[in-house]
Amino acid sequence: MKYNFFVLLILLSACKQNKTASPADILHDEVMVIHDKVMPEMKTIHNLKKELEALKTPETDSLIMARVSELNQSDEAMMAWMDKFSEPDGEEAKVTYLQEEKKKITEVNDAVFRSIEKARATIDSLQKK
Amino acid sequence: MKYKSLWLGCLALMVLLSCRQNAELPYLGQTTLQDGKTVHHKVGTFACYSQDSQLVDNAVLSQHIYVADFFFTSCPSICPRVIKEMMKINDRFKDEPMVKLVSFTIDPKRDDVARLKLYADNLGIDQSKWYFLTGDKDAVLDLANTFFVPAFEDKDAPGGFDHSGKIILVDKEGHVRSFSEGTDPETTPKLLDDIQTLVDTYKKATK
Repeated sequence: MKYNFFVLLILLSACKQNKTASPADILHDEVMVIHDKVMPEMKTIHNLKKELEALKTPETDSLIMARVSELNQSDEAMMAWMDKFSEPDGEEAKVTYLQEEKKKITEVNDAVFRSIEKARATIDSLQKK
Repeated sequence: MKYKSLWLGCLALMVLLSCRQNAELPYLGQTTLQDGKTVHHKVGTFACYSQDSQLVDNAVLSQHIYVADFFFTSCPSICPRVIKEMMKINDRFKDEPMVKLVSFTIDPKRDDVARLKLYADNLGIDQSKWYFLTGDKDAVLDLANTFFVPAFEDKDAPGGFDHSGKIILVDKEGHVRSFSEGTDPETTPKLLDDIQTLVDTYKKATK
């Protein structure tokens, strides 16, 4: 009897899990976690661009333009990814799609943080001068 | 003794409640003193195109109080939730011409007039009341900073372009008077009350 109860409990919890989070749901959440991490950095990018512009002199012009352009590119990559993001219908199609999108948003995430790091390094080195 | 404190509590509550009803909304943001006069923080100047290709600027809105949010049509997580709260404000004040709604896109590259029009059409709202505005991206982001007064910064809403998804109440003179977390429906009723208070304040002043 005790044993039966246990089996029932396990079955129930398994059912419940299935119902609340399918593989596609889990993937969706994973993708959104990365998205949510990158999104606030759009503001950082904007602020860094302004800081860079303020440090512009004839000598630093090309260096600064390069950093600004990298920031613009990663910002654009993020906005473009969100624009294209559209989940298909059907669990299987969703899983395939989301696996691909997870790779893409991870790349966008890397590009965003890389461009921010480089911009910060440039700002630091110019401010020291 | 027990009763006394209870009475005092009730009294304090009544005073608080009555104050709240009569009180005017505070001015948010930095207040400075210029030539001996108090100057309250104002939102920045803007001139953007609406979903109907109408040029909307500070002057157009100077006869209205409005709630503003910053969004973009392809935003997958936060914006739809904020729009839902904006809809509540729209529904509650649809017959009050003093109140307008303004949604600025932070992705003007994709959100052009045509796309904003489509978005507004899909919401099925009165488009003379709710403007969806597009302009220069950097200018809009700078503008957003003038709406997000320091009073906002105690809370960190996850997932955003300061994606905070804040909804900001601006009075006829361009002062920030209240705000809500567009991502937290529980903060909407207070904002609805504040909008009503501001409407009443202006109506009383013109009587």
